[in-house]
Amino acid sequence: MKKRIAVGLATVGLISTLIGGATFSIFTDSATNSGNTFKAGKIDINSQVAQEWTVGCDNMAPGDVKVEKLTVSNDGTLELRYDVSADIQGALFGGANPTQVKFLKDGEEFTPGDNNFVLAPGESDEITVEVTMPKDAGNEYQEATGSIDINFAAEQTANN
Amino acid sequence: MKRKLILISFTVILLGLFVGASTFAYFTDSAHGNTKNFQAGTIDIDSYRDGFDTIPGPMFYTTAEEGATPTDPSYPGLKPTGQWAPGDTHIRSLVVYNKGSLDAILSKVKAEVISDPENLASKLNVAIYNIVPENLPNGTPFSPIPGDDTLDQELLNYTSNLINPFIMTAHYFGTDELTQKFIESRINVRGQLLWSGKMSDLTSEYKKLNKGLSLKSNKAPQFRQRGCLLAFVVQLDKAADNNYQGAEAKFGFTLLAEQKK
Repeated sequence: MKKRIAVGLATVGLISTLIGGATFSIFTDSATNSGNTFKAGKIDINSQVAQEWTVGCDNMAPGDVKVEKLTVSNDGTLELRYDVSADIQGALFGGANPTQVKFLKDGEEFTPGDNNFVLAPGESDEITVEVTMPKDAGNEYQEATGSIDINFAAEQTANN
Repeated sequence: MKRKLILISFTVILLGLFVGASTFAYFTDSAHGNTKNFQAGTIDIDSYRDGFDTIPGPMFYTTAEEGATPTDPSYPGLKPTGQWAPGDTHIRSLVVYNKGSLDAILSKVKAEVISDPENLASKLNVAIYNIVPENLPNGTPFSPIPGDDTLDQELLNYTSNLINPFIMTAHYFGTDELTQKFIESRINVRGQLLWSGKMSDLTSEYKKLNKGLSLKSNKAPQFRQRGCLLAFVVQLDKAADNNYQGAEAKFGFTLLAEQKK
């Protein structure tokens, strides 16, 4: 009797295994679309001096006008917009008759700040910086010094 | 001696029986039941990028050359995405169809990484839609699936002109926006969202589609019964920072179908 039960249980186990195994077989197939390429673009802004300051920046006299031209280029692969910022420091640019700084693009004056100048990939702008020491700057400006630090900050225009 | 005689006699009788047996001829016959052959059916799934691009080739490519058909002669891809900026969204479509003899259900999707050194997959949002064509304004069934014999060439051109600008210029993501674009483009179709998430989720394992799509066997008379049109919407996440500038990745998209019954 005990032997019969054992044989019965073994048979049930075997059948269960067979049934269980069978349920895991189904026909399948798959299709692949391969080689999909995603490439993020680049924002790459550069500036170069197109025309160095006219001589004598280190020995300015009242009435002098000094000019520098900068080329700003988009060397990346995405369209960008950029702002110009200028950090102007020193006694030469302060006091009652400070030396004046003008920024021009395409012949038009602009104030550094929220400029949003747009450049397509491969394009460039010419930025002119004009520094004028006023004629009425008095002796208090003798040997006065100053510096101008110009920066260009760019961001993508797409979705922005 | 007696035993020997008995043994010899027995042998003689046995030989006699053998010899005797060969002389008995009798008629025989047999009946065989009809042969029944069994053959398993097939699930055979294939796919190609949508009919308004050159075929075959990848759905997503940045330049026309990159998307060129791997044929001789080769034809350039017609829908390059260009390079992606964070927030960019592009839609491409894939026709999936059943060439096998069994009805199938399209049930799962995954992506294989071919190359992704900068882990761009973590910044790519993916949504997959089933595009269900309805009717054109003139009441004709819309189907962008080439080979659908319910459409003549003129009508195919018409639908092609409708859908191409939509695919080329659309920048949107999500079901509501997709539906809105369909409406704006006056394409009377429905988009069923099948799956959405990160590309990196898709590369880890097969993901189940929200709704299995029926692909009839090759016995079905119309192509549209055997195939479906899927729209793959991919967006470079706006959160992709400067670390991803210039990043490039390559993936394959794989759809899995199972037998229906």
